[in-house]
Amino acid sequence: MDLEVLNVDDDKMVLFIHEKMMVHAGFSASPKSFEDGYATLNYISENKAENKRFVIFLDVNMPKLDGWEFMDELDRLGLTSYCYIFVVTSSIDQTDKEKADTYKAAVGFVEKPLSINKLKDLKKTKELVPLFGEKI
Amino acid sequence: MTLANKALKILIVEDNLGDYTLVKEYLEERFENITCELAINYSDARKLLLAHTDFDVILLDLILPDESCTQLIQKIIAIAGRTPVIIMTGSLNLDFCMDSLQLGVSDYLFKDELNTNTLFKSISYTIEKQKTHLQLLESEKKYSDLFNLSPVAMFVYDIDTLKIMDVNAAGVQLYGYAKGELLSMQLDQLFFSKNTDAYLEAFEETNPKNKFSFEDHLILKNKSGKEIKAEITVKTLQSRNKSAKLVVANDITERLLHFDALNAQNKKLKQIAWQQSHEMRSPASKILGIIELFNTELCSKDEQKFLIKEIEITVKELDDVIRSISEKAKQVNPKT
Repeated sequence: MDLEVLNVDDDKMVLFIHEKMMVHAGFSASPKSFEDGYATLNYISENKAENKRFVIFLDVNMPKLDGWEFMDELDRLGLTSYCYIFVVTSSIDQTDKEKADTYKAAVGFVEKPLSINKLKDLKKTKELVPLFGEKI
Repeated sequence: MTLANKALKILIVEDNLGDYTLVKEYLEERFENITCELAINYSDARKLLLAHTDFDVILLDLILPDESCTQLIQKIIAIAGRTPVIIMTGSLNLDFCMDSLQLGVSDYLFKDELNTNTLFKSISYTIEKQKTHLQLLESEKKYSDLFNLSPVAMFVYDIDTLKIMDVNAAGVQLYGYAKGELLSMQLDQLFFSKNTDAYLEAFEETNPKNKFSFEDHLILKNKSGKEIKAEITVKTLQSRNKSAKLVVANDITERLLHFDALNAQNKKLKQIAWQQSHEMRSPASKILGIIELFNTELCSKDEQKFLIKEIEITVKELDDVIRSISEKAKQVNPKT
């Protein structure tokens, strides 16, 4: 099973930090970055394959299409089954976490800042174990 | 202590000194502790009554040299205050005696039938009756004070005609009409025309109930057309042949204004809380992320320079948010 990591955040700086960390943590050798949700959706529908899964770090607060709308859209386009989503937010508001639990595609909730240790922990997420298992 | 040995003070208005002496003797026979004062004509009686208000009873001869009969009774009663008046008459004119009761006289005695017993019976009965009468007045006043002096606006209306029958001082103040004006108005004139039908229907529905409080406030209209938001409680009054309702209107206009102000304040506080958990947290988390990159020594020299620049930008961003929050916090404080 192939694995592709996508970072979605409207802040370029955050994307830069995330890429660096992912490479360093061995989470992904070449993560892709997207500044808005629509571009991400296009990329997924054009590059989807039966033997490939997208792990998406999705920022909740984005101007055009926010994280929640992104997941609704993903569902509507029938792309949810290709994706494992980590909902990323800088908010320390508990309601975001509760809301994330209600989305089928969401496998985890990450509070910013991301860190190398956090990424190592995320690898052990139940849904991701088979993906990383093949590689390791 | 019975009436027989209680200290009593009686004014006897009598121009015939023989009659006076007789009456005085009769009285002293049964009342152990009685003081009798004599007035030999109306003007004497008037002087005494104006100077002293502590007479227990006035015994009044109907024919005096300077005044008599109906006129005399009216004049004496006008200055007698709470002291009951018993008339003594020489003639057996029963009709006149009956009429005098209408004028406020407590009892009548025929001089020919005067004796210790009739006097004792009449005076003790009159004093007791007066006591009860005063208690009744007192209790009526108490209830009327409850209505009139209540700080909450109240009015009474006739269920059938909707006419306002009574209104208290707080009601007069609330509605801005003179009391006389209100008493010539109907219930529906206190509503805005757009509310009239709905409100009349609502009041109608309270008729079978003894007491009813509307859940929501009603909007009444005062004389100048201003809105009065009032909590309304309606209570049925049972009077002999009229069905009336007492309406208690608790003005909550001010309270609702405070509520609105509180709500606006709450909204601003919520915005501040949201800013703190979202807008303020975002640059903070970014700086923490950048520091993590430094700590792991992942970046080239050029990248490090770039990151330091980025920290500066982000701290400025954080500063802006803090300023905007403190600006909002200023607005939350009530204006003085």
